[in-house]
Amino acid sequence: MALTSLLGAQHPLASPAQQLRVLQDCEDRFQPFDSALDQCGLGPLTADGIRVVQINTGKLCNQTCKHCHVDAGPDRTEENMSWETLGLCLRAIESLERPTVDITGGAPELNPHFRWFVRRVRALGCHVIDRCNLTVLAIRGQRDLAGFLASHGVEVVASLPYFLASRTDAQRGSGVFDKSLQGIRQLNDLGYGRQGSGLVLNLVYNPTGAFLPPDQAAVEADFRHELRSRHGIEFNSLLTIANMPISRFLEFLVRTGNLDRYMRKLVSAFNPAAARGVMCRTTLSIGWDGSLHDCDFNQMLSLQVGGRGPRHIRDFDEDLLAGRPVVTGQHCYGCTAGSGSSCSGATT
Amino acid sequence: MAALDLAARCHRPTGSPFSGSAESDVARGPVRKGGTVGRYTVLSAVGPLIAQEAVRAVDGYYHDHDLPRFGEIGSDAPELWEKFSAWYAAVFRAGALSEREKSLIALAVAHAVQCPYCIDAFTQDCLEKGSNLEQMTEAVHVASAIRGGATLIHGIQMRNIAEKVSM
Repeated sequence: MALTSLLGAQHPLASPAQQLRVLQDCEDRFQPFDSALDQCGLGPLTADGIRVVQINTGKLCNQTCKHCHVDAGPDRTEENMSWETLGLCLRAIESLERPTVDITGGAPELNPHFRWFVRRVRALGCHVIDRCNLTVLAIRGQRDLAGFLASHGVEVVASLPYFLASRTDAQRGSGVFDKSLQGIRQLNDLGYGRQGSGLVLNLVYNPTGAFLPPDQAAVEADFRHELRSRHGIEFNSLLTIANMPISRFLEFLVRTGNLDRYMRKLVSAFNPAAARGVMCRTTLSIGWDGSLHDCDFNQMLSLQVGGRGPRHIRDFDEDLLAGRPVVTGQHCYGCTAGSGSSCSGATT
Repeated sequence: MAALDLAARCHRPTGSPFSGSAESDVARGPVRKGGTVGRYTVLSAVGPLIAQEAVRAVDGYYHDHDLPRFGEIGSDAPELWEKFSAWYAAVFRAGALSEREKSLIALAVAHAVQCPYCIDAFTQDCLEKGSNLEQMTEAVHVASAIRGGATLIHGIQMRNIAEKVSM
């Protein structure tokens, strides 16, 4: 797998403005998302409090997955959240009523302040989620990472798009499946995914192409059976997450001529029940530079929060942010198709 | 959601295996390729970034953009279409067989009857039900085996006739 991001390859779609242009072009051919919301009485979408603070600590990652909505990779060394910005996040979290703190990236563990931050947030009594790519557990300097996560009771949400090497490696890179299994075994040995341990390991299914995820419960049963019988490994739950038509997945859709087909699928599968449960209504997403967004996808499109509230974590104001209007676009169909999709899996 | 019933309401399929296929007629012009960097194809201009693989030979009888038009069949016989749609949706709901198993059967039958629309729709549907290419290929082999066996068993017919007319 080439170790270059779209940015490193100087691809036009590395630009959020260019991605938005392609998505807005879709509005001419498919019903605008806001109009679909209006039709079922759900528009305009507004936030309903802040129960999850999702922090994207940076774009640096040891993998270059083909579908990555962050365009992360080993070459993204410049965009990493500073200690000062993490401090501002901490101050905002302290002012809320024990929100779930969801740490993502890139590979968030590669941020040099990751462990300091986890310790501080756990000391506040917050539930902490680490979105882990599993292979990071084996790289130099991170071999004690699994033990650190276990000792601080951090929930691990780990990507494993399929229970076969062929499909996992096709999306995440050659050899990633085997290394991911090693990571899961390491976590299992510490109690993760084992009943009664209190240590939660949730896996994430991403479609390995331009199609929607299966029914979450059905595919979870397949994963549990296959991973247990073939590899003897355990996990708690499987979360199905649809691929958003942005960044590298958008590049894939455009390059392979699947954009209209995929957008048609998302639009035709619009589910009002899923729209009611979208994660942006209860999430505040913080970028590596402290910018505020409705979700990680809006963050990657440089769409900042709307309304009268602050745009940067230094100016955090819960009252102004809790009921803000949510910024939407054609990409939002990715969260409202079929059973719905969020960072916590299906929403219906 | 297998929802040909929705398709019946609006006379275009939504959410069924027969929806969501590419519509080449909405394409806006050919891709202008400007070379490659790494594994990425770099497009030379901003306007035509919408990839247009749509320029393909479509002079035959089958067009992939016809697949989402399935519901138009209901235009002149809406009651029959509604009955078909309701029955179709019920057939594919989980029962004694799971939705994934039913989709694999449909894929095999699609190959046996050699319907390009059904192959397109149920390949996608199988993937969306969590099946993998190993399972889907085995399903196609089942269809092939039955077709092959059905051909061979007719050899008995040949033998019977040959026996009857031979001295």
